[in-house]
Amino acid sequence: MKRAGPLLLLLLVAACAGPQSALSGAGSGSGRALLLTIVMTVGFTAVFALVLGLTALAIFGPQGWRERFGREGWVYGLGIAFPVVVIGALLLWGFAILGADEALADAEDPVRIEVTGERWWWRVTYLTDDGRRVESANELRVPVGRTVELALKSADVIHSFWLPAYAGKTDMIPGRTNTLRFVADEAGRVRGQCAEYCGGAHAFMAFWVEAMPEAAFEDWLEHEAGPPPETSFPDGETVFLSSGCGGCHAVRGTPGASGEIGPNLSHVGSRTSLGAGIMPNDREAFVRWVADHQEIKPENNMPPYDILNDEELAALGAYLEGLQ
Amino acid sequence: MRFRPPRPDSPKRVLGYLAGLVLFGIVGAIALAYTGLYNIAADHGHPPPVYWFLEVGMTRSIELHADNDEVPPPAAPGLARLGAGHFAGGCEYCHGKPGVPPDPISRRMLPMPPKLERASDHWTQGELAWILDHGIQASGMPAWPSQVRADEVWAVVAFLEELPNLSTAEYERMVAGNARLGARSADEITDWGEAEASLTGCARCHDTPDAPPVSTLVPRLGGQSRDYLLAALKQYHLGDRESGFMMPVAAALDAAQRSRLADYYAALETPPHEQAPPDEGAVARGEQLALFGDKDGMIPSCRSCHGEGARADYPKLDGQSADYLAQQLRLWQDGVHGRSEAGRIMATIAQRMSAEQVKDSAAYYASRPAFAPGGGTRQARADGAP
Repeated sequence: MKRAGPLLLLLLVAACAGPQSALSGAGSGSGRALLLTIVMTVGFTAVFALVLGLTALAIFGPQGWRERFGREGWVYGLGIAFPVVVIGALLLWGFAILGADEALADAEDPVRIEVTGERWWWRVTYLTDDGRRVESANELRVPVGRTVELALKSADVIHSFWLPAYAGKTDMIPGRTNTLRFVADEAGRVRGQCAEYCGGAHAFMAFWVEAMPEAAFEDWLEHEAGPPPETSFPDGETVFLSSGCGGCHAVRGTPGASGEIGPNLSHVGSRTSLGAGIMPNDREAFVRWVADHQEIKPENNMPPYDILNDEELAALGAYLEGLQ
Repeated sequence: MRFRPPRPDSPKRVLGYLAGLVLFGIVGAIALAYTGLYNIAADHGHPPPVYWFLEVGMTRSIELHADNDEVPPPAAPGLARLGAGHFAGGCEYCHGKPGVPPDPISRRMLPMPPKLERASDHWTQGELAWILDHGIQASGMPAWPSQVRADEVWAVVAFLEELPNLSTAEYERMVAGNARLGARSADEITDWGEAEASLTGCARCHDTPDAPPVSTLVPRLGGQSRDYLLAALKQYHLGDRESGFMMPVAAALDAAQRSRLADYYAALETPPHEQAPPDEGAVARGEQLALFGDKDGMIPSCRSCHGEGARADYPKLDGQSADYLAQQLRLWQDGVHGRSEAGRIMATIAQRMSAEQVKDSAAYYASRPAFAPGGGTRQARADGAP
């Protein structure tokens, strides 16, 4: 039993790590919020200990101490002045921290990305400096050290964009555009998810964000804006086009695949995860998704494709994986 | 002797008498059934009181249950001809045809199936539709083969409205549809029987090289994709696709026959439907939907599945009749269709379509040059295009 306490603490601390932790402080805003949290926790723990100590003295202390505590000065000093000063200072500091990201609004040349919550996935559109709209889905890539400005929208119901490693939750409300700004301080991969119940498959609506060096990001965006390499799996492409997948999904540079209803699949094979952060992104996963997506993510808007046989599914999986 | 008024019975006693009577009735009815005293022989007939009881009971029941306010679907061209095709295969054997005494076998049924020349005087359209849809218990009259296609019985109702005016020859011509049912030689009769219009005679309703389908509710098959035709026949055969017209037909066809028919129709050149020119506004709106879809309504473009390079088990739609296409889309919307693998895809999409979009997309495809065997259209072939 003696060792249970430290063990429990260890477990709690372990839960704080990981790609979706609000305590990682990997971004500008989240870093300051983390500092505020630590200062508050330590500071008020000290205040709590002080109050307990004084209370104990007032009850059990020597006669002299108890008499001294009876004076009114204590009430003015520790009862009124001390809280006003400490809490007031903390409030001002809190305001400053909350408002700090507003300064990002003046940042020159932010990376502009539109993120639209749809049931149950994320439509991600990069707005390039030369005015192009590059559509992708279910994953964000951002450059390290540069301000990222997200325009958050919803296509159906209220969602909430929550990327704890970098910033707080921001709701996505139909008919409105909310703006979220952050700076990723270091390269790495973090996870976010929808934080507002949006229907049956709400829990299966997550995403990955990869922060990468500026130059690598620019190269990546240029590649993302173009078509995928010519496919080595023409049979899979035929299944894709002849079965009507292109009516809802776009693959840049492929005539017949220009649908805008579902996620853009131009480079789907290069993403971290499939199905909005719920599956690995390999050939088997593509096959499993197409064959069983209504089991995996019930009531999602894609029609069931039970019409495909195993051979067609395998070809389709290979083709989709090849969309790099 | 002094008159003594009967002592009023207590309510309890009256209830006792009533219960006794009911019990007596139940025991009597069971005894009647169990002893077998009632003669059930069809040639014995019903005693007049029983006949009266059954006749009045049936008539009143139909009058009560039929919905006379139910609006019949707007009459599609050839609706009565479609009903005639089914009548000849499904109804004629028991109910007979104009000017010819009913079949000696069916005449020995009890109740004897009525001749139907007077049916439309005797029953309202709503009552006829109800009888066709639900059938009549213990009379030999079956319910409609598909219990979710109440829309189909109206074709037979339309035919029953015309039946009183038909001569024998006119009737024969009407039920033959596009089929050429000539007199058979003695040899043929000894092997095949008389040239009765069998339900499985496809040409009685569908297109032939000389004629379009008899009704705009009947799809044109000539030049349709073989895999689609085969899949549709199999679904009708298994009951996975609902139609009171097609299920009995396909049920009688084995796999080899279905395959031969699919090959035959896929290679057949037939003329397109005769249908009213569609509304131009509807065609334009339908074209928009067919080519680009409706992103906000989450409806993909029709052509992504029904255009060039589509899977062979997806149907061709170009030049198909607007009435048929709209009707099929409504069946998907109502959840009637959608049990087959391909049907589940279409059901998802059709259920997102508005009534307007159904009409518009049907009008657009109806306005297109009709599909032909292989690929391309009839028009392109006539123009000598490759």
